[in-house]
Amino acid sequence: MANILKREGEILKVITKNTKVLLAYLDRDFNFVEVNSAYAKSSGCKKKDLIGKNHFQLFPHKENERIFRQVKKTGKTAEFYRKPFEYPNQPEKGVTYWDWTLVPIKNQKHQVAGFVFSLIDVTEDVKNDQEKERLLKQVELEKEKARQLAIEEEKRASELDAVFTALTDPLFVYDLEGICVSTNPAALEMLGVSPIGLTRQKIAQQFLVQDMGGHLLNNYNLPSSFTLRGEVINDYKLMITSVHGKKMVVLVSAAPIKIDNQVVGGVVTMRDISEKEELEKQKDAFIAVASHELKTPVTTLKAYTQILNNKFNKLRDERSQHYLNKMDQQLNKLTTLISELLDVTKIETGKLELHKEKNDLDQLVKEVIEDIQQITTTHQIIKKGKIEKKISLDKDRINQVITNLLLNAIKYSPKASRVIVNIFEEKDEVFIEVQDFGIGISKDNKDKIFDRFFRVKGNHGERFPGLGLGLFICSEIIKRHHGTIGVKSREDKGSTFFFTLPTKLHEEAI
Amino acid sequence: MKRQFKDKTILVVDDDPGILEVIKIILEDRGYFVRTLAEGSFVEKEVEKELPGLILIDLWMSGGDGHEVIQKLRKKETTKKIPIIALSALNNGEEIAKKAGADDFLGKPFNIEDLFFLVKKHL
Repeated sequence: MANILKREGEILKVITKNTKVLLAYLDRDFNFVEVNSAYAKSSGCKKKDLIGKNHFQLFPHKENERIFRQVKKTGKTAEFYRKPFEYPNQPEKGVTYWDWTLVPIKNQKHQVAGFVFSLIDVTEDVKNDQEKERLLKQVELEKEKARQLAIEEEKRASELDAVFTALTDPLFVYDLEGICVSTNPAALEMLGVSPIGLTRQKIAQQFLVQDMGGHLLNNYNLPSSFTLRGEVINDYKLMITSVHGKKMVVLVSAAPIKIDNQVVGGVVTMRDISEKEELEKQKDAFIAVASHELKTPVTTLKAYTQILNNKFNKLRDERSQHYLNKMDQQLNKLTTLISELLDVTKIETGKLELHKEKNDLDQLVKEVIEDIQQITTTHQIIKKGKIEKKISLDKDRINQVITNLLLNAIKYSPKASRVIVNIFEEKDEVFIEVQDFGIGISKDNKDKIFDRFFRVKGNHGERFPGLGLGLFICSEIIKRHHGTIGVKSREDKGSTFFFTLPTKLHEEAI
Repeated sequence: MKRQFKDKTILVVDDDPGILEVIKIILEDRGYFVRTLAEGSFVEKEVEKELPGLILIDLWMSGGDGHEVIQKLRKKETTKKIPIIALSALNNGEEIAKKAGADDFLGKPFNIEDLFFLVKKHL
């Protein structure tokens, strides 16, 4: 019997020594009586340092101590799974997890005499599980994100769809191969068939895309081609013929679609401006006719005025001649007003053409001064400076500008007696300045003075006649000469209007 | 010499009767013979009847455009050397006149001195 027991004791020892399970035997006051090597190793202490020591002095843990006491009190085994624990003496281990049991050992009197404390380290399993859970959560999160994105995308797509549908301008979306991948009802209506899947060349053929000169556009110049090359087009005026045979003037705008700065397609949209164009044409034609028709009676009136003037001249009736001169001046004003109306129309429609030639600007200034001097009795016009160079300019138009500035100078300086015209060269420009000593221009008005229909009121509220077109036309003429126009002025001191012209031929003019 | 030229007629063509009348008055006052015509389409026939020494013609008329008339006259052997002064209230009149083949251009409204100057130049 004793042999058997001894043998079992030996086997137990071997198992205890070699198991990975942590085993400790504690006395009833939780002092270590025996620990196996797994326990000692895990606790970070040597076996001899554990034996005889109190468990909770070495590893204080309020909760565990409470549980241990409970086991002692009730005599019932405590069992835990994956219970976290941190070694106070091995903080580097972090949180460890344990499956452990505390079995009370009772004496013959059924009193708790000690405990078998066995633990299995499940830290690895727990951590693996935690990692798995974390990954799962992340996957869920990503899934949710993707779902939100999809919803967002769908929303955007349906918004875009609504925009496309609501758009009355036809719209074509092309992929990089130039195949139409998206469109709207307006495009469908204009084209007659669905453009989806058609190449841009095919669509262009359906439309007969022509430039304003009536030439068919080659592939390179199709608006879609610009977008696929990464270029943006704004308001490119073209003529197209719809499938119904309706000729239209359209303004085409187009832009590339880029992802990460790479062109992946293009959008082309067009606006039918045929009606507006037609109206513009009618307006132009009307103003041309109106101006022509208005000039006809003025011609007759002017001729009779001059006939009468000659008659009174022969009769030496100076008084009547004086009146007739006044009439003639008013007729000239009327002619100017009519011409201004026509000029503005031309400027607006981009039809103000210049006929530039090399001209003696100095001589031109002299001539204009002489002309204006003849019709003013109130002001003396003084020319200062000289320009030697011949300048490339439209003689009639520059004459018009100088005339306008001189007449303005006289008109807005009713109390002054002179106007100074100062001309000079500086760097690559010639300057023509017209200085008056009149009412001047307030700061507020300085910027607006070259605007269309802008009219100056006197500083004391007085009105000056005119359509407010003169300076607008002047500035447009100077712009087209690649010059600048401006004004320096002080209220009640006078104004100096100036314009410049380049002395070197502008590239466009060569 | 001067008097001799003055014997030649000036044909004035304009669809506006007011202008026809006043030009006639102005030129006759200076001793020129003036024939007037209100329609461009009759110019060829009128010219065939008796060659004028000078034609003053408006560019833009209801009854046959002046520039077309000028082009036609320039093509015919008998009429191609007649001096022609184009008249117009069109802003780009001078350009049209030059293209059509007129010798000179007078913009409306005009100074009568300028009219005399041009008439004298060609007659």
